[in-house]
Formats: sequence, C-alpha cells, structure tokens
Amino acid sequence: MIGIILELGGPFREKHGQWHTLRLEEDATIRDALARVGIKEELYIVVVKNSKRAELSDRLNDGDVVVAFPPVGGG
Amino acid sequence: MAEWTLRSVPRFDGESKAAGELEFLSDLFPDGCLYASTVRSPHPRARVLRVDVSKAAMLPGVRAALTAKDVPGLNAYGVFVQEAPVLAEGMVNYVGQPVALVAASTEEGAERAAQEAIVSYEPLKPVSSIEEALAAGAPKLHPSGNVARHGVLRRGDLGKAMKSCFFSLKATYRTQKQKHMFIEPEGGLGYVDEKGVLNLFVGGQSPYRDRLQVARSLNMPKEKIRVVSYPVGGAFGGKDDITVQIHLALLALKTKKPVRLVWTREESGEAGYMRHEFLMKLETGVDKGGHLLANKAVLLADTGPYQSFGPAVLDVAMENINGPYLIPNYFVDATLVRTNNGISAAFRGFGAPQANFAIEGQINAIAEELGMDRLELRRINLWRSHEEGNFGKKLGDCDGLRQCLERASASELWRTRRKHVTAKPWRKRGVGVALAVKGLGFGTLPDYATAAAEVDPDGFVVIYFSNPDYGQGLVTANAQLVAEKLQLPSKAIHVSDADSGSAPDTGSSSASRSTYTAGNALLDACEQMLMVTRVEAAAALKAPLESIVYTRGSFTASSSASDAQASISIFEVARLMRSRGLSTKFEGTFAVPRHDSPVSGSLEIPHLIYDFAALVGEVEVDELTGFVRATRFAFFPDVGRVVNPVLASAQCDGGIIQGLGYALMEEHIYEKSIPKTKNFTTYLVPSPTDSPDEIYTEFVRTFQETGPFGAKGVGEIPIVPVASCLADAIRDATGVTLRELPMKPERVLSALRRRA
Repeated sequence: MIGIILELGGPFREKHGQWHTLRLEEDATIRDALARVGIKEELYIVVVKNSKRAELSDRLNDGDVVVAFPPVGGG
Repeated sequence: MAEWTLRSVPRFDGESKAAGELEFLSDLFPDGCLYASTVRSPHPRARVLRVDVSKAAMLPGVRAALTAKDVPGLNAYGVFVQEAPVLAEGMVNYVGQPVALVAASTEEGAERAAQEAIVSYEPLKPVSSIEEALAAGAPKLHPSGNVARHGVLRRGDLGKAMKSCFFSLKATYRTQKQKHMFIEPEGGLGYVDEKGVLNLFVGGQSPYRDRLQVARSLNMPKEKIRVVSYPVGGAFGGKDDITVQIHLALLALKTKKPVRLVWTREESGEAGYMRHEFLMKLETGVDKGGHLLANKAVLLADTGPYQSFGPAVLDVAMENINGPYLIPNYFVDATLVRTNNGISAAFRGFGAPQANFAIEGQINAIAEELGMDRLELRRINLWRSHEEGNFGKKLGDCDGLRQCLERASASELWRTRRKHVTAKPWRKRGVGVALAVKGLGFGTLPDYATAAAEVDPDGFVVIYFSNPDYGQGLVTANAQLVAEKLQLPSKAIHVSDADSGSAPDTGSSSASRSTYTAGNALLDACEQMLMVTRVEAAAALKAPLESIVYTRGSFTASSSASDAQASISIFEVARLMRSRGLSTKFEGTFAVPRHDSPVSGSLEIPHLIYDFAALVGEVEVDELTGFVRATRFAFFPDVGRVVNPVLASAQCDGGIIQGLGYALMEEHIYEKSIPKTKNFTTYLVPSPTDSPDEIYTEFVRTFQETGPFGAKGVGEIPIVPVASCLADAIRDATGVTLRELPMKPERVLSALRRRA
C-alpha cells in the first residue's frame, strides 16, 4: 500500500471536499485516486503530481501530492 | 546588475505588426479552404420549433450544414459551468445565439446557405434587466431560476458598527455593459491533418483549456486536438471562453477540409462577450476621524442567460468592494442574475472596475462630507503589510500601495489642482483621484504552469509557453526574463507560438498572470538547463564540477582560467549533447502561491498577491453641453519590478484610455434584450481626439519576492480606477456627483440641470 495526499480545487472542492489522505494499492494511478473520492471526470480536468502536470494514467508513489481541478481562469 | 530587465527592448513582433506583414489567424486563407457561416437567433428568447438545414445543404458548393444533432459530445461549453449550448436545441436565450452552421466553397455561398436554413421560432417575452429577472413571476431562464450564483461575505457586527458611526453614506451605483471592440473579431481556421489531428488556429486566450472544451463537445481524445492561438488581434478577456473553436472543429471534422470561420463585426456585437453590468447599493460608515468602520454592499450583476466567467467575476467584485482599505465590519451580498441580454464574461479588470467605481465613489463623498483631504482619508484606512486583512488572512507586502498614494499626493497634477482654471467660464476644470487594487492570478484556485527552454547548437535558445500574446507584449517580456537568467542577448531568445502541439501548458493569458506565471516557469526551465549543461560542460572540459562557472553563455573551469581549452559555450555543449542523442530541451514548472482555501461564501477570495495603483486625473467639463474631456492623467502603479518600461507604460496608456471610454462614452445598449450597438457606427470608443493630452506614468519601486526578477503583472490594474477618478474630477469641477456610467454628455447635462 502507498499513501498519498490529494487536494481538490474549484467545483471539485465544493462537491467532494478539499483535502484527502488516501491509502492505495501499489500500482494505483491518479485515476484510481480520484475514483476513490468519487470523481470520474475524464475530459475536463487538470491533474498535477508533485507540482508537475500529469495524466490520469500516471502511476502514484508513496508520498505523492496530487492536485486535481477543472480548468480554471479568470481575471 | 540587471541587463535585460528594466530595459525597453523593442517588441519582438513590433516591426511586422507596424508594417502590416504579420498574418493574424483570420488572415489565413489556405488553398481550397471552405468558408463557414453561423445561423443565429434573431430573438432574445424563443422556443425553437424546427431546425431544417436540408435545403441549405443541397445548395451548390455547400459541404456541411450542421445542427445540435451533429454535436457528438456535450452540447454545452463554459469554463466554470457548462451550460451554453454549442448549437441551440429547444430554446434560444439571446439574440445571436448559434442555431446551425454551414460551410461552403465560397463566402457568398456560405452566407446564402445560412439564409436558406429554416428555423421556426415561437418568440417569448424576454427577461431584459436585473430588476425584471428578480421580479415575482418572472419567466425562469434556468430550471433553478434566474439567480445563477449568490454569495455572502461578512465580518464583524455590521449593525452595531453602523450605529456607532459618526456618519454613514448610502448610495446606489450603476455600471453598464462594455464591449471589448478588439480590432480582429472572433475567428480562426480549422483542419484535420494527415495524421488525423484536428488543428485549430483560433484567436483565443488559453489553448489547452480550449482544447479540453473542444474534446468534451467532440467526444474525442484531447491528444487528437491541437490549438494554436498566436497572433491574436486583441482580446481583453473577450476571447477567454469559447467563441468559434467548437464550431470550427465540428465543420473541419465533417468536411475534412480546411474551414475558415470569422465573425463579422455585427456578429461580434451580437454574440461576443461583454463586461457585466452591475447595480451596487452601498452604505459606508466612518468615525469622526474618518476611519472606516462599516460597509454594507448589495451587488447585482447581469450575466446574461449563461454564466461563462460570471461566478468568478462576481467574486472579484466582492473582493474589491471594500477597496484597499481595512474595514472591520462588512456585509457583502452579491447575486449573479440571468437575463436574455447576451453573455457577459471576462473583461480586463474582471469585476474590479465596477466595484472600484462604487467604493471609491463612497470614499470621495465621505471625504467631502467630513471636510477631509481625499488622500488623507485613504491613507489612514490603507491595508498594512503583513497584518490581517479584511478576509481574516495575513496580507502580503502592501508597501507599494502606500508608495502609490504618496506619489499621487506629491504629483504636480494633484498639488496644483486648485489652480486649474479655464479661460471660458462655462468650461470647468477639476482634478480627481482614485486608488485601485486587483488580485494577480486566480486567488485560491489552483494555478500551475509548465514551460520549456531549449538550447540550440546554432547559438540561440527557444522558449515554449502557451500564453497567447494578444498585444500585451508578454512574448518580449518573457524573452527578456530568460535573457537575464541565461545572461544572453535578448535577440538570442526565440519564442515559439502559443501552440498546444509544441508548448507546455502555461495556462490562460488572463488575470494579469502571464508574465508572472510563465516567467517563473521559464526561469525554472533555465535553471534545469544550466544544471544539466554545467555537468556536461565539466565532462567536456575534464574539470571538476565545482570548478565550473557559467557567465554570459559560456562555462569556464575557474581553476584553469588561463587555459584556452578550459572554456566552452552552452551552445557547444548542446551540440555535444545532441550528438549523443540527448535532448537539450528542459521543462520548468511553477505553482502560483495562494492561500489554503477560500473564505466562506466565495469561490477564490482572497488573492495572495495584488497589483496596486493611484490615479490622478484632470477633466474639463463643458457646462453648456455636458461634454467631458479628460485632459491629463498622472498614474502611479505598483506592478512589481518592471521588465520592459516602454511595454509596461503602453499597457498603462491602453488601460487608461480603455477606462476613459468605459467612464465617458462606451455602452453596449440592449432594448428589450435586442442589441442596438453592434458596430463602430453605434458603439463609441475613444478616438485620438478623445485621448488625454498627457498620461504620465511612474512605476513605484517594489520587488515581488515570488515574481520573476521581482515582477508582478500590469494587464488589468490601469483600467480599474479610471471611471472612479473621472467621476471625482467631474465632481471637483462642477459639484455634481455622478453614480452611473457612462458619464456621457446627456447624463452630465441632466445632473447639472438638477444642480441648478
């Protein structure tokens, strides 16, 4: 098992909460982590792993910090 | 010692733009391209009973005629809330709403086909104003009603504080819809290449986010979509959300041909975005000494039928409605209202100019009531560095705000304001002042950027980032930052296009963030480059790593500086690396610092970093006609360390003149939800004769610790205080207080007559 921290931003935060500490299988991906908190969005999503852009299929390691949010913008 | 920042390097694309040689995305006419046209609703609100494009599709030269049924994925778009239909189905909710698309081999053929499309409507009574939308029994424009968002912020005990005030001022402010009126209307070109990749060359502000919105509506993998957004002929926020991207994608995929879709000026006037109209009711209370004790603000904003950026615009207005002043007790009640008046979305300042007009109006009126100097009242209420701010979070460095105010106070225009008289007694001169604050970036929303830098053996470095430059000069500014970091001439820095196919995702060009965010990511990429190439240089020089020093494009082994062989250029290192199959392209990242979470009742409040400004302005008011001419401005912005003084000053000139238009003449008028000001004939923008005689800009000296070489951003802050400043100047000249924009001659004259 590995442990990661997941932060959700924007509307994801409002619906699912902001901070999550998750225990996952060794070969878990970012997609698995998001599914654990109820997020199944595949298209309109930005994921960042350890401050670097990532893909849903990226494998996770123990201690990773993942941030996921719908694309944002503003002024 | 800075060499390439604080330096007015000529704009990289300046010559080609000035010579008319640069091809904008609506200038692209590839061989065999098709021309697209959009079938639009003539009604502000109607049921769509039938859409039949079969006759249009049969016309000669017509290659595609599409309706909502042809949208394979989500028939909706919107950055924050996906609810604006790609093509209308069942209902239309604003004049100009797209219902069908056609593409033909000629422009005339496409227009003809659009006219032949049969759409039957059952017109319904539109909801034409904020007041109508909120009236009992109003038609519901959305299943949840006409309130798209409601937010409340509160601090302290407003009721108790208001009772304890020596004086409180109640006033209502109204600001109008403003169009962006960029020179190049919304448009672009789309085609599917030989690899099956959908290419979209579109005037936009965020290639990667556009790509995701297209992918969602086309139901296709994002990897099969490429969006390029450079060069763009102006945007100001009006191209931040989707315009033609999804339509072009649908047509290009259907026809397998290059398709060109460029809106006419009138289409842009009907269907393009605009600045939110706001109705703001404030009650602001002070003690005898002028200390602000309480502020109650009720904000109502017209977002049109679909929200787009509306929720975030409302947030910025809520954040700005207390100004850059510490107010211990406040209650802010803000509502985003749906109407049938077209879609309001992002526009330079993003809710801040509207809120600024109200709170600065309150401050100036309170100062007059108390007999206090307008700047002194501000000074005693200013935010203070590293102290708790209005939102319960610690403020960052606000010394720039104090400097802005002090410079304004010491300015010649302010000091000599009492001496300003005209030769003609019916022409009155006055001087006004306003402060402004604008958050940089997206507040507490997550914001991450990736950029890249590649060293080429031929003696240059290519930088890659996806922020479109639509006139701001950010390409040049970011190249200067890299030149500074690598100690290379700025001409040795080449900049790639804002292209999702080649540049990493740096996010959108908005929120005054592009130089700050992309600049930081680029500096990180340069850091990676120097780290790796230094190791390679040590190997090439057969010298210990710790002896290698980098200076002006060369690595030198310091222990044997006299040896001619002990030095190697970074470009030679790149050649050696490439000969071994190694990449010389390096990625950098940047996470924008932010507060942990938004305050209750908001989406993204507060920001961690702010731009500040003070603006002093002089007007001449003709009391016989009501005509107001803004004659001089003295502007003191804090935008961090200035990367390129000429480009930054140009941003200030542009923002102030755009703000002048907003203050005095610009107004996108709807009558019963029918747009009446769709082109330059009916929608007035400032011309050279309206421009002031002088705009004196002096950047206060600050250094943003987290910024690239101390920089923040300059895109928005200049427009924020202009309307407030000019309203104060008109009051100073005539004694008349105006609380509604624009302050056009008939409105000024009417107020003067009421005064009489």
